[in-house]
Amino acid sequence: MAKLSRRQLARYAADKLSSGESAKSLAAQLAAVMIESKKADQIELLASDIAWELEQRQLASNAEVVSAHPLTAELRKQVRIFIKKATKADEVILQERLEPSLIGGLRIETADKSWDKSVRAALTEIREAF
Amino acid sequence: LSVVTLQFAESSSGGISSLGINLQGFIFQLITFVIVLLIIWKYVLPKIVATIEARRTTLEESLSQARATEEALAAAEAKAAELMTQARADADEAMAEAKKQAENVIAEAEKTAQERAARIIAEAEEHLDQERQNLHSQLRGELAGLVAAATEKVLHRKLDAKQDSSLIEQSIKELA
Repeated sequence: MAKLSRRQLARYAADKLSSGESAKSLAAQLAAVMIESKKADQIELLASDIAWELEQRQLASNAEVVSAHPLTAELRKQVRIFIKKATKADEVILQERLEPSLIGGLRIETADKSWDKSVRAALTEIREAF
Repeated sequence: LSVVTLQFAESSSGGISSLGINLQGFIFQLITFVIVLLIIWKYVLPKIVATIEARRTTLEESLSQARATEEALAAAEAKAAELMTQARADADEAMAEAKKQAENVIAEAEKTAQERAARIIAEAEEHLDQERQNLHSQLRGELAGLVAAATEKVLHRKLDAKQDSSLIEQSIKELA
């Protein structure tokens, strides 16, 4: 069996997901391939590559939203709309994480893009500007 | 000649004898004198003349040489004087040239020293300016750090969830 690169596997997974294949069975197949090719330690990287492929194809955007305080439902909705508009993805998957050191504001990271509007980033920017 | 003389003596013996002169003796002496004179004329005189002539030639040559030597000496003295004059002129010119070169060297050295001093001063000023800018930048950075740290502390205490929500909403509007 010819060895497939991680990028090729990611493309394959994106193709399968877009054709409606179950994510669970696909994940099992990919895990088997990675273990078989002795690349089990690169599974997280493969997941990132798949997310990038999906975002490039405007199918789905897997976004991590980091804030100092929990987001309200209204804010969550606004964030989702913003990401959908920015990535042009059909579906937006949000993963929220609290990080008090941000002080305030939020940081959004997708597979291909990132925005940092946290107070911490603003203060760092001020420090660097001087 | 002797015969003629004897005939003359015989014809006039009366007159001379009356004067108390022995005519024969006189004639003999005259002949002897003539012979001696002839010998001298023939053999001695040419040598003497030649010797004198040689001496005269030698003297003339010596004189000529002396004159030539004198002239040569005069010419040599004139040449020496000319050379001395030329040498003095050359020496004066060389001195003037050396003086001019020395002045040029001094002027060049002064110019170089002035340029170097100006460069050193400019470098020092630039260094000071750089130091001042560094210090200013450092102070500005420290001040910004202090302001940021103070702001951070204040915001940590003052920024509650409600205010943070408002801030996030504004941020999203800015991003959109």
